[in-house]
Amino acid sequence: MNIQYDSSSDSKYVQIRKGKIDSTKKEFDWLMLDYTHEGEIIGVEILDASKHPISITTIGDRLLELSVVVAPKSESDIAYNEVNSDDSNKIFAMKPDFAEAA
Amino acid sequence: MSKKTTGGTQPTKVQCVWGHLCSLTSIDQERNNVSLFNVIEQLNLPAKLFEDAKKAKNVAIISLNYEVVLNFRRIVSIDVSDPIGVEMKLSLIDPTGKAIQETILPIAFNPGSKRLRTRVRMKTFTLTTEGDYVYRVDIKETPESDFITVLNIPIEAVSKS
Repeated sequence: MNIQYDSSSDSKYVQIRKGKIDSTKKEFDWLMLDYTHEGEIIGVEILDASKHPISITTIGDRLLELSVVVAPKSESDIAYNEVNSDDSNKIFAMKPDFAEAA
Repeated sequence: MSKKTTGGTQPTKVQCVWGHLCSLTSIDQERNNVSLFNVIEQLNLPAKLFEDAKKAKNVAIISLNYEVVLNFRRIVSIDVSDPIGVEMKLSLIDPTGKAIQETILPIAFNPGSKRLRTRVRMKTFTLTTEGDYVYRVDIKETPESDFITVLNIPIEAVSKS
């Protein structure tokens, strides 16, 4: 993955892999996904990135999962971040189609 | 996918104190203590899995619920009242040295927080061959800097016939 961040606009672009962008889908006002002609996601653009922490997981050059990072709610000294605390945090999840254990 | 970590030798803002793979973690809300259950050091897997991985796309994904738990701490000289945000990358490195799975996420210290726990819940484990795997933890302290490796968590995949 290649991460580009523009501090002036607080925007982040994560390039999953190189390829020709065929279309862009707006998931939210702050989240855009770039697709190839074959329908694979090859890029993720996050606006107001500091306000929208996103976790991105890839296997090889394929996007596996996009999730929202949950910020701590408690006011304790040790803050903690959680990722994938429940499925509602997931924006995108690809079902693996590779070989699976019996 | 890059397996090489470049740039810098030591982080200047944040240090990774410890990290483990485990089945489950639990946080005592009253005392804010974290408990780790079943720390994962070795995976025993059927030999057929690795054979299938070779036949398929050289990658096998198993269904496995686990957590990568990390504890970060501000470098002493950093003012606690300042917020800190860094980019973290978790890379699963296979026995050949290839990064087969990557997760990036931003981690942020709130003003006043000296330490930060990060729990990343995973539901799959990616494999290519049996041997020693490593979950490599890298952080990028500024957008312009390169990722710096701060921790390597080993895990062995053993074939059982």
